[in-house]
Amino acid sequence: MMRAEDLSEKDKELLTRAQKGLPLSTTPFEDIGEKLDMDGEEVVKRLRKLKEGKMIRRIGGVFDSKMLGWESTLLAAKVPKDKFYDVAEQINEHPGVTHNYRRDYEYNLWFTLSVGPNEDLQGEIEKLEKKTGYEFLQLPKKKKYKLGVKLDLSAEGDK
Amino acid sequence: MMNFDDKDKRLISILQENIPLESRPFKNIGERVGLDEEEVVDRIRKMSDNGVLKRLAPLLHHRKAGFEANGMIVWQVPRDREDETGLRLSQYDEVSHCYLRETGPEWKYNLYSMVHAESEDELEHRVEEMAEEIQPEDYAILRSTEELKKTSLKYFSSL
Repeated sequence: MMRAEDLSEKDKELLTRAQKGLPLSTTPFEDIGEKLDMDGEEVVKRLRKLKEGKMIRRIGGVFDSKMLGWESTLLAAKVPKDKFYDVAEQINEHPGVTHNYRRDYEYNLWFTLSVGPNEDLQGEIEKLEKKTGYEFLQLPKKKKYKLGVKLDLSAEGDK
Repeated sequence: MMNFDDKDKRLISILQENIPLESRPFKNIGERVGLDEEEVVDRIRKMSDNGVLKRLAPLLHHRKAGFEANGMIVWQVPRDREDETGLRLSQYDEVSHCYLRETGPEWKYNLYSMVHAESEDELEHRVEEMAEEIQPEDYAILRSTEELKKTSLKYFSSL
């Protein structure tokens, strides 16, 4: 498995730039290579290697889920130890549950529920509450200040 | 919500996975959707212009060498200091995500940040430093002790 330390300077430059977004043209790899003094073939070869080395998880689109009609929220439940896995399993059965973590806190089960266009988020929450027998804390997002990290792999980003 | 025709939806369902690593990736995608290369690029540009597509890019595996411990920190911050504090927390390199969420009668914490550190001790230490700086009314470290589910949303994947 590759690590950030294993990357060549060229790979770092490529990743730093590409993470901001590939050019939206018929030849995105060739176009991004131009600024990096690489031809398209080299860009493709490097990206393939980075993907095989599991440095890159995916090369594709990042969408605004709200604009696509998806709605989601964070939910938390207080579940006694002996019921914990049963409840977690019931919750995980829902296809709209994308993340679910056990946390060392009074509210010990934390999960996100998303529903697509024409689905009713509140209705789904209530159904899950009924199914599990627990009431959830509903913690919808009001604002994002920081979302994920784009690793700055360029020389000055190294610390 | 915006309207997407079936070809857009099919395109989104492909782009949310991986684009082919070859010199003309949209030619290949066009063949699968029933569009020519130029039409694919046009549609992608439109999605980018109106914000549905945030970017087309390589996404990295989030694993910073040596960062073993992480915790979700929930902070209770007065309403008139929410934004200032959220932005301040976002400036820390150790903070990967920072959100403002709804509160409720049983839940007073309004700011959430994911903090990464080299060890549990270091995590606590860094969080104490942050608390010192932002002066919350209260805060708690919620460590995840188990990942019960982790998947990504699948848009229009049934098409």
